[in-house]
Amino acid sequence: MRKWLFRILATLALAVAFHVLTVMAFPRAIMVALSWKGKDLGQSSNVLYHQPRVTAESRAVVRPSPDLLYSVCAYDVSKGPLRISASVPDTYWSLSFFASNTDNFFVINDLEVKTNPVDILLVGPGVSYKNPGNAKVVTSPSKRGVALIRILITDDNRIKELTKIQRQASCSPVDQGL
Amino acid sequence: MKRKHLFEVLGIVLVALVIGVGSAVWVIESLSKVQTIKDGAWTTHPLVGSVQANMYLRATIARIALFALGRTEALYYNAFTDEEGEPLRPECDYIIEGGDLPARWWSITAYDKDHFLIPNALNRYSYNMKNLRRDEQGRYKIYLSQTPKDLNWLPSATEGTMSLTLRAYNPAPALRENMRNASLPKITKVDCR
Repeated sequence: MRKWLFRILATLALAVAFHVLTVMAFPRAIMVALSWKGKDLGQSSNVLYHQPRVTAESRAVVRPSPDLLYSVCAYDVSKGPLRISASVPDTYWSLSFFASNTDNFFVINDLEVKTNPVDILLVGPGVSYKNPGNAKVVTSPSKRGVALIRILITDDNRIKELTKIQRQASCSPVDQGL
Repeated sequence: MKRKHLFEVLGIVLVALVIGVGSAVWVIESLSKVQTIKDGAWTTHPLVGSVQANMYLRATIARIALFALGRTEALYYNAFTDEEGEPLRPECDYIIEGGDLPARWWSITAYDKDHFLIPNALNRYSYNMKNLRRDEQGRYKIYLSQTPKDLNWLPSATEGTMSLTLRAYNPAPALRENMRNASLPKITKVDCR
């Protein structure tokens, strides 16, 4: 009797541990799966990829908005900071950063920017850095994550113009020479 | 004797793994349909996109709204049912009826059962505050249906279930502080085939 009780309690305790681990690991697993998907498509870290307007064939991220142009940079700031610069159009625009657990730890939109183009220096946790210009410094809580630029398509006739602005944005490592 | 113990331990680990992982997947999937704030058929959570989200909400967001922004930047309402609480089904026609929302920009998008856009010949996946045809009072009706309509036709899925997302970018404080009573559009089932 005591042996069976022990087995049941051990199973339940382990089940709780597996449950918590699965739930906690789920967002990170999604991010890892996304980076694998990117690698399959020949995409590298620390490069901004400009996506065309999403369609029913788009499978990169669930529940995409067809009203937005997305640019995505899977970053890795373990070896040094990253510089993100982007031109801001006269429509809703935002630059957001997501940590490796999918937390949105920073966002700035077109109404909040102080300069156009926007210049951001993304640095890793606890890493010393030199700011090569007047870039706004943002610290990522994780070494890896995702930077995402959204541009709102207010009118289908503006897609060409907005795509041109979208493609002026970049995401690249900064040589620190430390 | 030792082999017996080994099988016992392996059995316990295996059963625990199935229960633990299975229950986690079930909870994440269930929470994606039952979020905290409910306004008619629409559901959302005030902590979407927030770093204060707990592990369940974070996992749910990763499942259905990866890379969602916080509520000062954008609000996301999802509808998996009509006003009566019945799942949105492709074989039924629905009217989504409402007025403007206090936000810089808002849109309503339809999604297939796999959470991606619904394929259709017009590549019509959403309506927004600018491209909707409205009446004299500024109110609108969107027709979610497999059958083409003259005005504001949003093609629905061909099988399984479907869902809607209402996005409001740069919502006014009145909206983001009052997410439970946001005067969201009503989703009414008209008929089914």
